[in-house]
Amino acid sequence: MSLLDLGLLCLRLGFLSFGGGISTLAEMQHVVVDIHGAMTQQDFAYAFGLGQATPGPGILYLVPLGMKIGGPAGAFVATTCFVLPPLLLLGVLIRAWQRMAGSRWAASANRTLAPMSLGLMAAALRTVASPIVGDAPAIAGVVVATIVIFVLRVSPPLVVLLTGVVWMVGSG
Amino acid sequence: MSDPPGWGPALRKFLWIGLTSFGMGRQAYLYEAFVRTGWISQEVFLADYAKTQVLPGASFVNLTFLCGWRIGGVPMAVAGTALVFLPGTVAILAATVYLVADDPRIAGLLHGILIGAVALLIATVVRMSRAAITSASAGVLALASLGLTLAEVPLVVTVLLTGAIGLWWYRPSRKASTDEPA
Repeated sequence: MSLLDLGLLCLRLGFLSFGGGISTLAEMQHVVVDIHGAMTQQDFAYAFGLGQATPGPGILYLVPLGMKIGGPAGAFVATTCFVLPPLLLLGVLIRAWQRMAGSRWAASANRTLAPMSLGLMAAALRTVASPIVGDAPAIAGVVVATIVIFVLRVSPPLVVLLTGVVWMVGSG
Repeated sequence: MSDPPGWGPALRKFLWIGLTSFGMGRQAYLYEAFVRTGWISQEVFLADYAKTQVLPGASFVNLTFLCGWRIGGVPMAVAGTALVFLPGTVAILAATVYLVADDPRIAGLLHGILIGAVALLIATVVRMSRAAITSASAGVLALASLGLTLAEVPLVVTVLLTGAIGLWWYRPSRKASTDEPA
């Protein structure tokens, strides 16, 4: 997969991301792993995991993804092509916005996009979880971690780091 | 609204957000930093939040940019967004370079992080569904975008199709708005 392919892919998915970069995860995986074979499914899932374990924008998963495909230049191209063009569009539209935001179509768009991005994120779950399908201890880990998030109300990112430490100790 | 902050205090806020914001719902950190301090009014913040939800892109990055813009124009927007990226970029670059999965312990760490991230995504989807599924039609839209994606229909088709259906269902009407499509 060339840098040009990577840049064009991120450009396209940046403009198709609604409600956050994770909504395009399934398509990203499909193109990068299934079509181009540029990285393994497991490496893709690890990149996503690292993005959730580090602070700042979740879209930073594009850094390890880009590094795998094209080194530091790949990381830069992936992140920039995904983030920058929609940001520029926002900058252009912001001045014309007052009129648009007042229109009732803006409310229609809001009501449409919330469930749509929810469905896309639920689909991302299959993408991310595929390396642990059939791995009983891992599935048990997911169940316990989910219970810890909901019942004990532990901050989810802390749970991500804790499961990391538990598995590191367990595999030593 | 209080007086606009100087560059130093504002940039420190952005850097702090870059260091401490994790997981989904990072927009709450922006709210905490800029609305609670009175630098941006709640009304303006919520309107900006709505824009970043309706327009495409990395929504948290876009809202960060708008917050900087409200506080100190384009220079503050650029500097603030860069500072929100900085700590995470350094951390994930270091992790990418040094965490090589050849070592079984590092492989275990990465595997464990993935397991936690799956749980985080489940939690996010559950929490989002409470807010997003407010009617049967919203449930249908969510299931449609889920089903089309799982069927590996190209994303652009999924977005345009579910988007068009939703806009039609929720189109502004002259009568009082109804919750369910006709």
